Amino acid sequence: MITDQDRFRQDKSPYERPNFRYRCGRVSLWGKPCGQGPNDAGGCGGTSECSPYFDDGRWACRRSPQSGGSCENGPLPDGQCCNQHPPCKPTLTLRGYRARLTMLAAVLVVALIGAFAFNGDGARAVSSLSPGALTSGHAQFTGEKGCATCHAPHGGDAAAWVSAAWSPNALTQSCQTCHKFDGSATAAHNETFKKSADQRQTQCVMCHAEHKGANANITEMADQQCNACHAVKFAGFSNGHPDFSKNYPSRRRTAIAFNHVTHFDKYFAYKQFADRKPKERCVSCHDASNALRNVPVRPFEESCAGCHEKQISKRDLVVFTLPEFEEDPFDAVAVGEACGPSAEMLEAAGEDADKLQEILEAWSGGKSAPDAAAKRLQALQLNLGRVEGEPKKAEDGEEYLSVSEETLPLIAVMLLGLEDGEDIDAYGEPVRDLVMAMIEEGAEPLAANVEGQPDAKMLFAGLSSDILRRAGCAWAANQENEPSASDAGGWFADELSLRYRPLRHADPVVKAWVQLAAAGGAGEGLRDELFSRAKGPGACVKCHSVNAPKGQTAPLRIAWKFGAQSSQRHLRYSHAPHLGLLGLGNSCETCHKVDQTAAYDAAFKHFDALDFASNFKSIDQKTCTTCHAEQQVRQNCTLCHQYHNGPGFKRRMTTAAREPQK
Amino acid sequence: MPAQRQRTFLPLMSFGVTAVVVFVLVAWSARRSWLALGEPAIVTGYTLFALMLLLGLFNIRKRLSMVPIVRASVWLAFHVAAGVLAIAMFWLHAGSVWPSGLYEQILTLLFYLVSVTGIIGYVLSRTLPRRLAQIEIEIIFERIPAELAEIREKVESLALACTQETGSDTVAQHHIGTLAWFFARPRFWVSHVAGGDAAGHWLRGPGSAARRYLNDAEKTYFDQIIELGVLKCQVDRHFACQELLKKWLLVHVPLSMAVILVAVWHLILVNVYAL
Amino acid sequence: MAEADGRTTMDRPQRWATPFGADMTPEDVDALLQRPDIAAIEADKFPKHTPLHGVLSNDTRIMQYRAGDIVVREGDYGNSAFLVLEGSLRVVLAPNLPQSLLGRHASRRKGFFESLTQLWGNSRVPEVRDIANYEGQGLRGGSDSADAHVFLQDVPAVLDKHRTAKLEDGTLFGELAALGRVPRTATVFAEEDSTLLEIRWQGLRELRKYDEGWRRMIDQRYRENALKAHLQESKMFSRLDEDSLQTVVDKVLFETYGAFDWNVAFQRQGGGKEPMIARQGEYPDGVLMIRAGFARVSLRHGNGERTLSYLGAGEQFGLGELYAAWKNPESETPALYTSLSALGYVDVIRVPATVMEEYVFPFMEEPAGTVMDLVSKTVADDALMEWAVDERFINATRSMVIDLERCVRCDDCVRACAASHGGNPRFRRHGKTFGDLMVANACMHCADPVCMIGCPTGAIHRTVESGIVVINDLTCIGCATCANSCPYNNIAMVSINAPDGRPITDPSSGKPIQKATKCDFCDDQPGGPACVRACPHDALRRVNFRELNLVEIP
Repeated sequence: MITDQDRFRQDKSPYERPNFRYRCGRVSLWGKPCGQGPNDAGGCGGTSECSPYFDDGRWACRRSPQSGGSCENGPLPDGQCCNQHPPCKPTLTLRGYRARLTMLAAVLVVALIGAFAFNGDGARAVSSLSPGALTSGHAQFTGEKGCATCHAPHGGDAAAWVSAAWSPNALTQSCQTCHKFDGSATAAHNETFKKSADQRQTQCVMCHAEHKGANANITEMADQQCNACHAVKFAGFSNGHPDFSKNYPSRRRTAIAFNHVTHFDKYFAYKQFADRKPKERCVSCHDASNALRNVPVRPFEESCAGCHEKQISKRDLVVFTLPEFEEDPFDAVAVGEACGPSAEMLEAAGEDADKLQEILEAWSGGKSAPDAAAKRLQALQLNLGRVEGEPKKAEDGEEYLSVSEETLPLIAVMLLGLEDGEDIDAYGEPVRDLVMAMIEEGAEPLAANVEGQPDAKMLFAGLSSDILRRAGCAWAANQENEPSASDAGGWFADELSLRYRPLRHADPVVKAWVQLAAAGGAGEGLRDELFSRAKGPGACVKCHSVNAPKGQTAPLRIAWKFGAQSSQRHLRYSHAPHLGLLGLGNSCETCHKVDQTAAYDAAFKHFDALDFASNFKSIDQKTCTTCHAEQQVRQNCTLCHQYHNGPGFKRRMTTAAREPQK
Repeated sequence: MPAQRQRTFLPLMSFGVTAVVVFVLVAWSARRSWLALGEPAIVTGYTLFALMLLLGLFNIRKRLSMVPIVRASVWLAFHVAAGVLAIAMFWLHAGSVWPSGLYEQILTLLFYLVSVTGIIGYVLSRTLPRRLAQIEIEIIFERIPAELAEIREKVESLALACTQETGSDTVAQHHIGTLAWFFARPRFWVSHVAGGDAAGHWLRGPGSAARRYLNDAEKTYFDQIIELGVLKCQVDRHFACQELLKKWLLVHVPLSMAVILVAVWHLILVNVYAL
Repeated sequence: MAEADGRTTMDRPQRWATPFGADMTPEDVDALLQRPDIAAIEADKFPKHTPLHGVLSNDTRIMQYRAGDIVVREGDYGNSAFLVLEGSLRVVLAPNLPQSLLGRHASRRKGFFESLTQLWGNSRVPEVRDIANYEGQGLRGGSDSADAHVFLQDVPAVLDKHRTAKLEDGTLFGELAALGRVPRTATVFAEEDSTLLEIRWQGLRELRKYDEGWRRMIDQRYRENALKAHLQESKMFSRLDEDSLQTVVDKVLFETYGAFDWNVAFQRQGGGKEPMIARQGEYPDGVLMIRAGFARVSLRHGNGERTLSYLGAGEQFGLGELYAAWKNPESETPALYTSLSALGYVDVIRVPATVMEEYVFPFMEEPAGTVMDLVSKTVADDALMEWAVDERFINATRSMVIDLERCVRCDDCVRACAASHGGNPRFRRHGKTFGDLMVANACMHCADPVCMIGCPTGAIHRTVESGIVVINDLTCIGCATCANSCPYNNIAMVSINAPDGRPITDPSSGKPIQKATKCDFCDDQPGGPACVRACPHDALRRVNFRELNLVEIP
């Protein structure tokens, strides 16, 4: 017993063996264990307490001293131990159970993983291996292939898994199944920057981590992450952000040459414009209710037409002017045949004045004045030798007097393919041919000369053969043409030239001619003429700037639209919330301060859009940090900057049916 | 003896400081990785896995005491420090207290169970021995059944002797009806573990209920029986506390095996799918 | 090497189954009997089962030493005495020879990887032995490697630098260590080629027991040789010159208190008698120096005796009182502050007060502090010491103390011990408790190892290097003397088994073969005791009670 004084004696207290796995079964029944203990295999070792020894004629007990020494009664006569016990069922010690439980846990885990962790068929939308729900956008399309939609090794065999484990993932490729950009998906900002040749390849998962829940924001980025690549690292917009560029927000001259300073200070002050000038400052022209990146200007009709519409119609496009001739290049017969009534008709008419009048009227369309027609007729008859009298044409010594003393306009030079418009010898015949062609075939020959040019159809649109015939015939007869009524605009021929009068702003014909020059279809002289701000046809280029793309001389680009030139792919700015805060009125000058001394107009004398001066002083960074600073309005990078270059989808809902992009 | 108690104080402190340093380093490294658009879960994950393996090695170390390697008490200090570090590292790695994803949730649950059982076990290891030392007797756990058997036999023989001597079987009947249950096996386990005295209370109450019906002669026997009952209370207390000190490991060790295996699979999955 | 063949029987080992010297021929024995010192022994006084002839034959051997060979080294634990047959030797008195000259070497320890194989190599069957190992023990060349001697390179230099004494033909030396269970007190080396008769202590015991001449000689020599060296070691006499010292030696008295086999009484009565040596308040009749054993220093406290300290070999009693009286002649008659009683067995040397005053005090440093400095502690502070002294744990140089407030009863210590010993633990994790501490039943490697008394074959012995008490399983005959002697019940007898689990029995009697087992402080393991390494809560320590600082000796 535990209270015995001699309980520590070595014959009363044998060694405990906690390193053995089994213990006597009687112990688990709260009884006394036997002296021998279970054997290693788990069987009972104490069925009999001793192995009796036959000595000197009788059996003797040989129980070990640790079990109590020899027993009193001694073995049975047949040599069996007298203290036999039914075998116990040895039980594991707690440690033995622990070992078994651990094995069981290991086996269970491996079995469960084997049973449930391989769902390679992918039919399930959600795998038990998924570490979190996909965002709702991505969750819907994984139906067919399941996880393998993005994860190639899913459902693969062991070899696929081993190679996938040791190689980097191909998720960027999976993303590009649907997402596209205007540049490479693995380049920073999807751009190729010239400076850094060793640009780090980007992967989608560097910034966008999926499997964070259906409502997770996977496009959120922290400011510090931008510092990962940017060499100039700083803590925040108001704390180290590089200064804005010199003319911010202008990076190039305006598309439309509108000098705010001169307009507001000078032109609007003129008395004649008192009723037409804008009532307010900025918002009279800039539509603040549609303020986004730019605050768009109202259309020409609403904002500019009041003063500038009339100008447009005052500048004609001169296509052809009858040049001076030294001698008559025209063949009278041919002209007469082309222009006048036929010889038969005249024969038939004889000298019948009425018939002649009829013929005359028919020939002239009943429009010309009788005496002019009569003059013409007489001239013809003289030419034909029918009528007696002095023909205009000098026979001996009388000089040919050209009705025109002009030179060819540059357009005509271009159309005829001549070098210049002053070499009479050079242009004599071509002009004659052209006029004859004008008479006989109308607008077609002219159009034929410009075939192949862009917008060729527009160049002579609306030109009627009638005008050409009448003018041509007059000029072929060395006469001045009689101008038709020309106030309405459009094609008309005056005394000596073929012209086009722009009807209104954005006249397509003039526009086509100006475009032609921009496209390089005209020589330099013609181009300069067409692009003259002071004198160009339609006054187009007076306001619309002509821009040369960087490093090129042609083709030029004419800025027809306001604000179409912005190429800031990575900058996001919206006027709307700012105006909403400041008021839709004339709060623009809070940030856009007028620069009175800028040489604005000088910029429009050349084609380089980047060499410019803005009407407005550049916006200082401090203007922004007044509000966008620490502990004030948010100033995170992604507020103003967009990382991706033209992000979009390869397949989208479109109004026009077209093949999805590959 | 105070000097002894400080023997592992220094290792524990130095492991603690090292753990803090390691945590700060790994956290800083993870943050740098995140700032460089890398994957911070890589460094925290592998650190966590290494910690789990090192923690699991403790079981093997315990079998290697015959070889002159580091003392088991220093190893335990390391185990505790590494365990706490692993919990902190787990939260750093997972980013949240409870992840989404069924597999990760199972892994997290197993990890929490292992950690909680570990902490509970450590607390038990510090508190129960004190209680054991305060019991008047000291007995080896494996000898308790034999001891109880002896006590039981003694009580039964006393009851029989009482009946024989006095001719009255009150004591014997009381033994059959009430005391036999008490002496059959260890009782009042919960009370002994919690430090209460429900056993003594019972002995003084229902256990001694028959005393009022006894004469002096019987009382002599009965008091001896109750004395043996008091002895049994002490043995029971040893049983309860020592058994708990052994049994908590039956939860902790198998769970830790499970968590390591589940973590190995997690490692494989992450490398196949995400990295 | 023979393989285990599943046999389960072997002949019961006998006492003289393994003679000390395998080469002892009957001629050698006859030659010895011719010598006058041996011829003087009365052979008929010896009992039938241990005749003189048998003792000489089996418990002695003749050893040859060449000039310069070291016979015994100071500090070694030895189990034999030496009789010089011919030649000349020197014993080194002072200063002691440096360790390097003595050529100490370690006993064989397992290597790291050999130790590691115990992880899977241990048997699951308890106490497995391979019988084949026990055979052929008689052909052993001797228990210690007696053939290889360490020798001094430069004997004249040693003689020059160190004070030595000559030992010649017929001298007996080393009996002190053999009989007294103490380390060798001096180094002895051969000056010329010499022949010695080595007598192991079992034989010496028989000689001393049955022959009066040898008893007187041994006792006399014991006093003479040991005493002088012992006195010379003490701080008190370190400044004395040769003559004064000799005077002291001649005038010193020898006293023995208690019984040599005190363990018997201790086991029976749990404490035994404690003969009083000196009483508190009495006149100090001299300075008492403890030579061997333990004595308790106590003070009357209430109705009992309160232990202040315990004294072991080398410590003295009464010095403070006498010195104070000599220093200050005006003071009262000196009286002992405390009492001194014998714990089991004490050898005391009394240096008379007059001798101290005349020869010693004038040249001695003033002793620092007295035992009364310890009185300021409360009885509660001393309770542990009282208990340790009562239980005689003060004997322990390596007791196993378990802090019960830290121990979670996990048995890792027992498992580690088992792993280091073939799957068999060598201690039981129970023992006497005091407060939160338990002294477990693991061999304490006592300063006074009473277990070694009575071992017939010398299987239980102290190792040469470390002083650990080890049982040589190969020569243990299972008589259980040591197990029964140990007053602390730290030695356990086991029945040995074959690898298949069947017990090994003696075919002639059917009785299972027994072996004595105990903690060996992991003598053959690298790194020392496995139990200490294994405890995860630092609850287990091996404590030397002498150094426990329970007590400060003035």
